[in-house]
Amino acid sequence: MHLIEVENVSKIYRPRRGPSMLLARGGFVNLFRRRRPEEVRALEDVSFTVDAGEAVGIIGANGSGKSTLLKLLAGVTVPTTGRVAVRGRVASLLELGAGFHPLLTGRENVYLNAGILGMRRHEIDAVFDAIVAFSGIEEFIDNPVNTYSSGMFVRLGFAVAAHTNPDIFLVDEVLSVGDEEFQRKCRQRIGELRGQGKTIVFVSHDLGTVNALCNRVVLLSKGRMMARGTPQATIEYYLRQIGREAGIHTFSSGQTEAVFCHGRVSLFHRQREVTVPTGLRMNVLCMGQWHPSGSADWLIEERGPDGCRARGRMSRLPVTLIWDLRLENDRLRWAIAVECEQDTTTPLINADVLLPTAYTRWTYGESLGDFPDIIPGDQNWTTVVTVDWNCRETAALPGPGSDLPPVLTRLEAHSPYLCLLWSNSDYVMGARALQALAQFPDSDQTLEAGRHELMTLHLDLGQSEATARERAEALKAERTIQIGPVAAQFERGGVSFTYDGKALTHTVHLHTQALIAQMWNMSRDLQWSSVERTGDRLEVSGESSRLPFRQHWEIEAAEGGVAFRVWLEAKEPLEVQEYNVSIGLKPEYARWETCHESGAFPPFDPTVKEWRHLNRSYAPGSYVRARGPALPTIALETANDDLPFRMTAINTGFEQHTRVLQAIYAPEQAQWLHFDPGRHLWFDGFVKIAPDTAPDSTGAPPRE
Amino acid sequence: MSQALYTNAQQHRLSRVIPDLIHHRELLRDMVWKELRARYRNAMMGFLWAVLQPVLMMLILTFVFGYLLPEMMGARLGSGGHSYASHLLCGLVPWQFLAVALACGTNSLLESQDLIKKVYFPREIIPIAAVLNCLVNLAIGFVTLLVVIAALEGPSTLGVGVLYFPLIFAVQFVLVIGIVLLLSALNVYYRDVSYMIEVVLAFGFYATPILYPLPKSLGALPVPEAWKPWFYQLYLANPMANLIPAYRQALLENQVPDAALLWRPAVLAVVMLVVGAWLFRRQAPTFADHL
Repeated sequence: MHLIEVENVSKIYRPRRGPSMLLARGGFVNLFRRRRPEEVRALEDVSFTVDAGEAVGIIGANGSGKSTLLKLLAGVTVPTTGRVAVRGRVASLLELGAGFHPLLTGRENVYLNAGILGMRRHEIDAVFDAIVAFSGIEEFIDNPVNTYSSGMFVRLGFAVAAHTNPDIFLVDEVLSVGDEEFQRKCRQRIGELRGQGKTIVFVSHDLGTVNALCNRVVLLSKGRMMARGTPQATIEYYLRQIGREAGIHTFSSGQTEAVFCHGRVSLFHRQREVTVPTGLRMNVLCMGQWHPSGSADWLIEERGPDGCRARGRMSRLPVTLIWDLRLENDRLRWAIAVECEQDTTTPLINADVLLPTAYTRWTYGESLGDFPDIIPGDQNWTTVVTVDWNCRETAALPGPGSDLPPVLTRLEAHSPYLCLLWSNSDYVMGARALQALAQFPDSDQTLEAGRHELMTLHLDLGQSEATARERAEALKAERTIQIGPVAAQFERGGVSFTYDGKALTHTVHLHTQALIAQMWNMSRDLQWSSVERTGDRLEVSGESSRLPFRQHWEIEAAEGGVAFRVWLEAKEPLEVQEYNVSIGLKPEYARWETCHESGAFPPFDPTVKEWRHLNRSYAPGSYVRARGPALPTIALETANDDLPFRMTAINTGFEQHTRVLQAIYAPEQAQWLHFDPGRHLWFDGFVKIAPDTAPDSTGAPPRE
Repeated sequence: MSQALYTNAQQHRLSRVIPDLIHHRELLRDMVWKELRARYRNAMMGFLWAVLQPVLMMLILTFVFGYLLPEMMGARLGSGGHSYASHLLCGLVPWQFLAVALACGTNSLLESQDLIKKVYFPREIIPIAAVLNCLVNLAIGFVTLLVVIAALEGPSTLGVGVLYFPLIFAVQFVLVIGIVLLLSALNVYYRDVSYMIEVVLAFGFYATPILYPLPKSLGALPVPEAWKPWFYQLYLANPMANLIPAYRQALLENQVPDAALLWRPAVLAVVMLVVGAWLFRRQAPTFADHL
């Protein structure tokens, strides 16, 4: 039995729409006038059914009749002709907080609102606690709702609607309200409702969410039903066929076709959709709320066969997004500017490129990696790469067996606050997200009135995978010194070492740490400039975002390894408790030795989480060395006797599974190191790597 | 779990009104409760205002029409041996209920338009809740009235006649509900209706025997003699012109109200209720399109 039946439904808004005075237009007077405004056909001859347990999405451009259809289903109005039959209780999430009385408390409003949605008092009693818990405003529940923030208001409204236990849920774009955390909660709740076999009718602009949540999609255009079917097929039809409408423009070049649709861009390559249905989009964060580009009002100012220029006026912000899209030789150029009507506070603006999970690997600057799988428990977006403010080139590579093209992206930043970042989306969206983030620091969050060029993203779909790899390799080579079989590569505050292509270092690699104001400052957390290379010498500096200092590293080829020199550049007087230079080594390293003693690295103990020093003598020394079976010997040595380091060997906790050689610079008890503003030599030494010569190192692996 | 099955065809039916209202009785109660809580939460003296309002009206009207005017004009408004104040209040309290209920009820749909545009529920609930809200003021007014009568006329004046009050009020209540259903529905389409109501109520205040007793005829009217009965019938066509004398009979005279005073308003009330409910039901499904 169908839960919802819509049969040949038409809805015509008569010319006399809205309220009128007797003598005004549309009042009695019009009876005597010939001229009548035209009637509006919001829906024409729409028929479909929804069975129990289905999730049906309704998509279409603005003004295509989506909301009218939802109103008909909610029973708020009736069709002009045709029949709408609904069996079971309906709750529509389009009425968040409808009927909330501002003077009443949250508690009273919950009862009232739930009553309006058709619940009995005893039913509300049963779920009241769950509603309050879901809304997360326990402590305010007995305050009048006019003291609530708009976010709290909506949260409480959603909480009530989501707990009314109806048979049919009507959802209209609610997912675009509230903060990200709350949106996630909403999606999760809708997912749960699906899981409980509830019927859901979902109206949205967000094709991605429709695709993820719905198992059938109805496409409306100008009040007519254009298609219905699986989400993938219908959404694709929508993007490709209805391209001539106001907010949509299709353009192509080479094998690539792009569809601009109300603040989203979908890319197709050889007839295959490269992006997920949400496609390319933007978000502006303002007052804790995300404003997606898809909710803006878009106008295409200029269209051409190879691109378009569009302006999107944000609906709840005095901000207009200006996109200039050009396709040339399978390359999309996406230039983004924002125009503010007045000074606008925004800490964050981002542009996302959302790709399907068929893309399994990424390159980011010179690094390469695999995307972790997205599992059903993933409710948050997770960052896949470590942010590198200098990274301007990145790529997504398709997994084996996929015929999608690699997506090479280059960011041209017009703002100093931009960075690129790869993330995995939550499970519902199921996408690899390349995010170009403009993160404005606290002091500079206000965008002044006027136009701001933000960034230009170049997406290249025409390159082979090899090109993407070569680019990454070339960038990598730029940061690598080769000394015979030894290669030392700088990578974001660390130097990794390989011998004949075999990795010797692990996790943290060669790095520095400094204990300042009770906090360990890791070199990996500094913001590193791009590497300056002169022959076999690399120079790079990293700036702390929290404390007034920089580190300057010099890495240079030397006899049997690399010379490593660290300078501290303090801008203000700096008190340091202690600092060290460490190398994280593969767990295969079995033995260690210093000037004073030697020993074996014990096996890792699963119960141990902290780092454990293995040596007993802490007298200053000049080297610490590690050996392992079939591994070259690696040593951390100091070159400058003015800087007395204590050389130690360390086992990390079980999770990190790393052997560490560490040179510690620590003053006597209770005495701090004081650095005046200026440049100080911090570490001067070598990392030496030699083929294993010691006879005992291979023969005596540590006892397990 | 409520098994609400609805199709658009059924929403129009007049026969659905009663079942719908019964089904949503808790909502109706909540809506009334909500208004009351909200109205009196922030007003410090709360319900006291509801007492003060008719009392102050009575005092000033008693002063003007009971003392000032008779003295200056040399005439006395006969009120059958009762004090003018209790006579006046006896008309004022029911009239105030009518006036406030009509004004609130007529605008109620517009005030709840957010709700109507978003949720389906029997629309009748909104104007009915608005009328029910006014019952609080009426109850306070009624108690005040009893106190004033007991004070000015002596407690013995109040007798079994008080028991007739609910009967008369029932007629008035049904009448008000009918009119409010009709006018609130019309008001969605023509916003003039709410202005019209104000004018009609101001006019009706004097066309109803509130300040004065029910005239036996309109002998002094400067119109041809043959028209006078017609004018008088027109005057009596105002249901409140019948009901207010009935209230006085019950409360002040301690008598059974004349059937002649009751049957016409009663018939009118039933007709208004049916017509109002029918028109309201017919238009309710598309209110959302016009708000």
